[in-house]
Amino acid sequence: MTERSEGIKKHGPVVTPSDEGGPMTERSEGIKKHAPVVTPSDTGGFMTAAGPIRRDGRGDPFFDGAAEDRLVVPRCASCERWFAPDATGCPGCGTDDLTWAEATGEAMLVSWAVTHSRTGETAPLALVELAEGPWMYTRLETDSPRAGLPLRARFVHPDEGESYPVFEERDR
Amino acid sequence: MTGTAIAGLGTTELGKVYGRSPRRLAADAVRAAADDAGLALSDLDGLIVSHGLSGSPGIDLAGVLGLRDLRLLTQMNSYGATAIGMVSHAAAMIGSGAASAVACVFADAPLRPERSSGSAYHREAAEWHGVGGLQAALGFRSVNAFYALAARRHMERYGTTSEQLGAIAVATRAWAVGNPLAQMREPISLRDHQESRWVVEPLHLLDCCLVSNGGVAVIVTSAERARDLAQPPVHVWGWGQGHPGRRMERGSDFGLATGAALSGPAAMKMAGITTADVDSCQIYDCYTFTVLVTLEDYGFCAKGEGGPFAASGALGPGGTLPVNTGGGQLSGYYMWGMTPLSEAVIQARGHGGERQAPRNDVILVSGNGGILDHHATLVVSPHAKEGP
Repeated sequence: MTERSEGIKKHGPVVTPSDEGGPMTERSEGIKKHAPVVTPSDTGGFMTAAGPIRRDGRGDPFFDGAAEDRLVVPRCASCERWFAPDATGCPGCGTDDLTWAEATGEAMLVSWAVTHSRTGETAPLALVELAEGPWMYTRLETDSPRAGLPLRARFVHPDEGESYPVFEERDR
Repeated sequence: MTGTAIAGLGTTELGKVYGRSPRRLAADAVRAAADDAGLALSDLDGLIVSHGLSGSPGIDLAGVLGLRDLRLLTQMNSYGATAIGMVSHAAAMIGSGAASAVACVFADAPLRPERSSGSAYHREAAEWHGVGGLQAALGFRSVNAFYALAARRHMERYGTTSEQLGAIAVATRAWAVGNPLAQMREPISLRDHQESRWVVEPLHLLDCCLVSNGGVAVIVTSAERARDLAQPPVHVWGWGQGHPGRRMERGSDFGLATGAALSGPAAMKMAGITTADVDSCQIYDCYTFTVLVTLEDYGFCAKGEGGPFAASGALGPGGTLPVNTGGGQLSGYYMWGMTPLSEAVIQARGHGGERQAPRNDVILVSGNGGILDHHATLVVSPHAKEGP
């Protein structure tokens, strides 16, 4: 994994659900229950997405690909740059006319986190770097997360709603 | 350019304040700030309104307040960096002669009765739409998840630990004990931090800030005029912003460095100071981790040394670098960038009471917005800046 390189400074679509620069959660003092680090093996039903995923017309090729166990993401043909699934344009040339292309599905782990629901369910979250360069927010399947861990896409095909990728350890 | 100063600070009730809209809270805060300065509303010729997330007022606030013949009226938004952006814009406008007394206000009311604070900024849905919805469906339901990823990356790279983040929570709470405005004033231990429930690992509950309703306003005017007003002037020495425009792709420094590395040196250069001159810091602390990475980027310790620096006890009462002397957003109140700014004004005036830091000649203030995407820095002092 490279770090601190200057990269491209132009601003692109930022992948965040909320922008206020803060959180957050209820503040109750005195909750003492300690939760151990959770690995995917004991994440139970929360491992799958909560609620079905529907198409909205914008990322249909991504979902078409996922249905066939292929990772299809946006790409700028002229700049030869790849992007995360929700990208809307290329900051290199300014085009908003991205094509969709099949990525290898290989990735490596940049960072991870485990979200905890109020009811005690957990889900392992990951920020992964696709072999083609873009970063993607996803679910993680490994018992031993570490920065740089080689990963590959695995596709989930729920009974209801669209298929989607999660990332598992490549060499297991 | 004319020196400028913060001459008034107005704060509404903060926290679980229900029944007042953000517009009303903003108006109340502006009135309180003008009153604090010893000014009438009719003395104001500028108003800058911060963006908020829950129906915050826009420039219509001028009408609500009955302000007339303004020479400056605008709404600004750089998320958590907005408060400093407002003050520096006001200072520049006053310095240029375009305005003379400018109110800057933030108000928000995300809390609702009978709903948890967590739900204020949390997404829930029965089904999810498109590639954006997929992300939320998989568990990225609030900003907590993204800051958790940032913190974990720093931990992996530099060996930063949860206990080191906890040292920031403990120090901040120790300061809050002395602040009557703070929402959380019971001291906590590192064990309390470690045993508080996970929100998103590696962030415990006590790594995350509060949610508050309320409004805060300041009045900016010329240093010369501020001298004749009701409160000790808080002189504005310098400011800066940093918006790295980080792309989430190979080579990104997400979680490792922020716009503070751009903003801090710019503000300190304008102020004519270095980190060695800073007596206390009021750092935007949406999370403990934000404090840690900001202090590194400002140069108060080397990159990667923020954890040991925090664990050394430097930041708390009696430490070498008092940080968030009012309890910050972690333990005080969450008014976006107005939290650190308001405490800086109180400290510069010497009105901190039992929490007053030993020295207040130079106070550094920070703002942070997005997921470490936007940063602003302000340097203030009770002393007029010695001009070039």
